[in-house]
Amino acid sequence: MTMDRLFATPIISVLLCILLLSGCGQNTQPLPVLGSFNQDFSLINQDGQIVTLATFNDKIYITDFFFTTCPTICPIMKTQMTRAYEAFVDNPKILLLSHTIDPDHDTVEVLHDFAQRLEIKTSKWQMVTGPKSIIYPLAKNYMLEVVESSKAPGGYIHSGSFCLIDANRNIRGYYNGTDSAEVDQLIKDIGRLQGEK
Amino acid sequence: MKMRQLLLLLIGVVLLAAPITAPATDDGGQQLYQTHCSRCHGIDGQGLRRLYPVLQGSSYFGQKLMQLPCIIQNGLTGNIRLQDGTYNRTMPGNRILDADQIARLMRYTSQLATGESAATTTITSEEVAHLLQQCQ
Repeated sequence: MTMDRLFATPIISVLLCILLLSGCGQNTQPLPVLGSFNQDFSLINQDGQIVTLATFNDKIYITDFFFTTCPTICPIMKTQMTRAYEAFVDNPKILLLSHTIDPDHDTVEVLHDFAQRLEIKTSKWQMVTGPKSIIYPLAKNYMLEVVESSKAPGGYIHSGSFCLIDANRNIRGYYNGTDSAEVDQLIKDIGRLQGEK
Repeated sequence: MKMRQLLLLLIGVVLLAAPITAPATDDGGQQLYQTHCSRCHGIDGQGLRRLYPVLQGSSYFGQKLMQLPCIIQNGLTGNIRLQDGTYNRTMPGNRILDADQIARLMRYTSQLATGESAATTTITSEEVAHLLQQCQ
């Protein structure tokens, strides 16, 4: 059978149409609203600039919690967040926000060095530090776990999830930041958010 | 194109791709690498920019190879200069790894670092044990 005849076969044509239509159908479903985030804050980024909730006005953003000396999941999270960074580096509507949960060690200088080594632009990917009394409640508001634990490697237990927030400050998804397939989905879902009216 | 030709073409593509994707001969070193090293150095040793060093072309798999057992077991701090710049992250030690595990880890990892099995190390457990006794 030649390729022309293969695609001319009615059954194959019908199957292809079903596949195409079902694919379109999935993408028309809006992402669910899982909560909202309206907690104002004032933290300092890797360049010593003040970052507040207003920094993210009308922006879609991805956020996570990490620390630079984390020996377990953070290196993978940063590898995956770098993929999201690359996907949206030229899109001013999308921002990234990483909070350190070890501000005693992760000063502005440490975050600056870390960000420089990641070769990222501060305007796109903010890495922030500040008092634990501000940062830890923020994690709770994003519904992400952060706990100090002397038994944990590095001294902290924290969620490896990336939280996706839309331009109206609604939480629209959680993605395992150590799983490249989930980060693929995150990148696709941001495309869907951008299509929302 | 006829189906037979298409099939032959697909077989050809698979055969061409095989040497690139086929895992190197493994005696458990790959699993050790995935468990203890890949979080920072990447699944294929690709590293992460100037944060975590890429293994490919690293001098630690060339002239500094004999330093690796102690580094793997005890970790590394401070600045190190590699082929593509300076790195300063703390590499945690893996005190739970014994000489045999470190030897397997080095044999597998050197395949990632050199990209060709001919240039990889054949270091043995006994050689690693000897080097570990000299760690400072």
